[in-house]
Amino acid sequence: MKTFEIKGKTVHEAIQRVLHEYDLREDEVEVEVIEKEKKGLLGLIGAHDARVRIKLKEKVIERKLKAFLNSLLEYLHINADISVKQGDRKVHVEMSGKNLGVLIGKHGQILASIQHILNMQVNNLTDTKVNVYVDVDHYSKYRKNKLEEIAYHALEMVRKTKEKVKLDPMQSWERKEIHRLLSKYSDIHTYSEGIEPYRYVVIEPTNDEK
Amino acid sequence: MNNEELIWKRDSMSDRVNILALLVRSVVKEPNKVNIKEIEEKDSITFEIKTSSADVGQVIGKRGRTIRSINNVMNMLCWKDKKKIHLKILR
Repeated sequence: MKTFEIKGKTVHEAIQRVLHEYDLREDEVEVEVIEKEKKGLLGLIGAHDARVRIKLKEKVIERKLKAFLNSLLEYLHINADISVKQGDRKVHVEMSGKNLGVLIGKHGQILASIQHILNMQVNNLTDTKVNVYVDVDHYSKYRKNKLEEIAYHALEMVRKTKEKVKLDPMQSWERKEIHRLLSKYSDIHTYSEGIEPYRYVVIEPTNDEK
Repeated sequence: MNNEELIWKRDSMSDRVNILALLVRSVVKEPNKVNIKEIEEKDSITFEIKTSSADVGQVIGKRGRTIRSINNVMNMLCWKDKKKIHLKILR
């Protein structure tokens, strides 16, 4: 988690400033006083500011994510349950409820956008890179099943026709899933082509040097 | 949801600006320096986003990925307005 080292007229003032600036609560930070303020003689000689080190606690992430998502839902007049699970450099956010389709969007585009924004937000609060995964109504599970179908269907096609097959454009994690699924077959190989967001997977038979 | 905390609050007029501000603020490093102006036209809405100069790149992101994400979410949130959303980042 992120640590700030800051100066202030007094210890209290310094802490309050950070809490205000980053919209934090008192129980969400660990405070270490490096140096207390000193008034000095007549407020001139030997006077110096207070120095404190403020470290964020893990629970900041959950509150911030929930507040953000609840605001979006409130704007859309939608109700949903949000659960946040924090693991080792990973944060899983799950939303469930009715009419959450708008949050997924065409081909999961909105979901990916929300995930990207949350990633930025969380990584502003931490030092180490943390990955945020957002799932709405088990969409990623549903999509994974679908990808499996697509992959095996394409595999059959390639084996039958002995020609390469280009799949539809997909997001990076979807392409990765396809590569992973098909990596165990030695008679074909896969690679990606094109420029984001229209990058797509190509499946090619390997035994073409005859 | 009633007892949950909301960063964004409904106050009729500037709803759209506020929700966009929420999106932009969650991405930047200096949230307090974000300023947004809304210009509504017949069939489009333009938002002018001002941030601290250090955060301009942060809002745009690698190959415009972040601003595209914000645009996507904004279009989703405003689909009822039936207007095209344009985001402008001012230096």
